[in-house]
Amino acid sequence: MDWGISMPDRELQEWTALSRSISEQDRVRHTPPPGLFDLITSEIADLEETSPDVVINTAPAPEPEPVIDLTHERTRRAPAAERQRRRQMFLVSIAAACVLVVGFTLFGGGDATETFVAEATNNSLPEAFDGVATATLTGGDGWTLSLDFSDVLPDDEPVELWAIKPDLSDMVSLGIVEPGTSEFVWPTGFPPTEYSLVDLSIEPNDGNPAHSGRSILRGELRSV
Amino acid sequence: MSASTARETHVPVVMALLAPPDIRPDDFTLDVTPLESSFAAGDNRVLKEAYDEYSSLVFSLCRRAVDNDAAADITQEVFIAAWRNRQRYDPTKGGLAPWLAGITRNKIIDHFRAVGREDRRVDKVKNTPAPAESSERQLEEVSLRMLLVDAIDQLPERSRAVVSMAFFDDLTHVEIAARTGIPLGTVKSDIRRSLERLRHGLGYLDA
Repeated sequence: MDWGISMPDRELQEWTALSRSISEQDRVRHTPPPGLFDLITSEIADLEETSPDVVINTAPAPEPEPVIDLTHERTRRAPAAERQRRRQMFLVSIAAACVLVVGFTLFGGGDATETFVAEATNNSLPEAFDGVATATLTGGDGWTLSLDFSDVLPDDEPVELWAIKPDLSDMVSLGIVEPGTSEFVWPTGFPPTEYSLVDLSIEPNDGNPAHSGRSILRGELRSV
Repeated sequence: MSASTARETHVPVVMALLAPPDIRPDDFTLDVTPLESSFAAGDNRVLKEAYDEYSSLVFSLCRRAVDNDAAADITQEVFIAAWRNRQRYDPTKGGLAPWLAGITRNKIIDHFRAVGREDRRVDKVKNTPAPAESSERQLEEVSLRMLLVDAIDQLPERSRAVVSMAFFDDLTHVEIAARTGIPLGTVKSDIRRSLERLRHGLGYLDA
């Protein structure tokens, strides 16, 4: 392309190419449903009330956990409708209050100030990784797990956080550990006393949602 | 090159040097917006301001990959995650829009991973095909184009016109100057400063 007096500018050409790939669909903007901002502030208030601080584990490191090959274990997703249900519950506030009370009893919500801490290490895990993560699970109306890392995570492949039963009969994904995210909503119906292994694994973008078996950090939640 | 051609070539330069005050380059001295400056340490009013400014972008990006209900859920998750991690946003690394778009992409990917697991558990299907724009690469391309649309819209009026002529009409700097009557030097400055602002509007170093 002739840019006149300027020499052809590679960056400008890249911007031009990107601009010309814009479709009409890219210009369409949808408005979020009304009331969504109120739900956001409400949930933030709840989270800040139930997990005000990250607890740093200063206890001596526990004995290394036995290495468990998770490659062929079945996985279980976090409840898909959980957030949507929470949204609907908010909109029917009085009913929601009742449901929360019942849910708290059914799921054994326990002491609102109860805290579990796990120091997840790479001890004896086959996947090499330098670093330690401290996971702090704080309970209330909902459980929030905070991760505190001693080192940066691999940035070339996604890292996923799991809660696993020690007998490997079940596991649940808490989500992808991404830059800017250190807190995870612990799904209801998965008591931390039962899903007590916290595991971080490298999950290649291979379309297979199962645990890859490539754990880099693992530790056991203990009540503190 | 003949003498007359040389004179013609230099005419726009002379015009740029003599540019009247009312057609100086647009003022881009403040690429970082007040909202971006105050987000990390802000209070709930800043959250509302950020929501008003960017929720449509976040929600619309979600809608490219998922249905309305899931898009609302993911938008909710994005703003909660962004707010709870707001101290990690550094406006010198890029705009709030690309930072939020990065969180949005990750949340959408989380969503599809979760759906994949559920389908596998229930249906014993190993490879659940994801909707058309759910792959990471496609999501990134879509979000870049959407960010560019917004970033161009937010340019000052004259710069937006100049950049549009360069980007979409394939005009050279000289042709833009000739078509608009804006001095060539001003055209070049507008484009250079526009690119600086577009970089801020599309990129975040840690995203």
